[in-house]
Amino acid sequence: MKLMFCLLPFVGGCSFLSALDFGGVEKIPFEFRLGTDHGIHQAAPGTKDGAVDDKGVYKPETPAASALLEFPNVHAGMMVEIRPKAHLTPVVQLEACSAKAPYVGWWEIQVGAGANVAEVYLGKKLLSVWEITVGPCFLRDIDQHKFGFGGIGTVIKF
Amino acid sequence: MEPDLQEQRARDPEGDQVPCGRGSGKPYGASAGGAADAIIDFLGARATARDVGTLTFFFKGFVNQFFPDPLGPDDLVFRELLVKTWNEILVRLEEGHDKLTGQDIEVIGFALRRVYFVGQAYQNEKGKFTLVQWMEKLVGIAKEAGISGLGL
Repeated sequence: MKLMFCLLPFVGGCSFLSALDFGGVEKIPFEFRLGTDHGIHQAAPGTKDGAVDDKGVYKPETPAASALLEFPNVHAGMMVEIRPKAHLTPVVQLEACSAKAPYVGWWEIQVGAGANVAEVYLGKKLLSVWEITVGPCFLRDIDQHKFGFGGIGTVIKF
Repeated sequence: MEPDLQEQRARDPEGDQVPCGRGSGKPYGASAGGAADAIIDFLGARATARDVGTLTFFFKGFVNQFFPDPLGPDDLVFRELLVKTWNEILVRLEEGHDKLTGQDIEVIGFALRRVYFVGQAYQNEKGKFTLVQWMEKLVGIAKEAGISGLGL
């Protein structure tokens, strides 16, 4: 398991996974995004509600519609707790931020929770759009009152 | 400002991007003919911001038929989410001149998924149309638009 975690950063650069992890701007080597930044166009200041600006960008009639699109990414997947006790649980994650670097591709920091566990997760993005990620997590086992670690795989983002 | 936008505003000082709403005969300022021209421009990779606006408001007028009148707060939020997502797709198609980048595909994929999940919650709240009700609704819209034939 430890070997897998050590090798994980390097598999991101292989040609197959690079092709699947195609997000971001291709020509920019380093990128950073907060979980709330999805790249949705915002209408120019002064645009009336329910109208479009000079570039054709629409400003919704209600700010709630924009807020729905700005809410951080939510990921769902499974967690394997390794320490303090072996434990498998579904988890729901909220994306805090993501970053891209040459060769290793996109990585995400997520916070989430499952059954009797809360964790912080560093996920390697394997597939863009559907956002399949895998990686290690640092966790707090609520039953055992102990910190520990494990691995997570998420299979969908919404 | 692009020349065609200037031309458009010279023709109509209020701008044809100003919402008109139900009962005006020209829902949200976009006619079917204008929408058809905009689609042709998109297919020919000649689309401009004006075409994006025209198709956005045509879509808004179209989906508005499926919402209750007057709109409740949930209806308004969901309708605006649909329109904003459609507009985002059009803006990216227009900027890329029919060539989408990986970033475009990611953003569009994200927006469509979020619409789907919000839509599921909205449907649970509001109940679902049956297939027959959907067909009746579509036939009604086609009749309002003056489309005849096909047994309508």
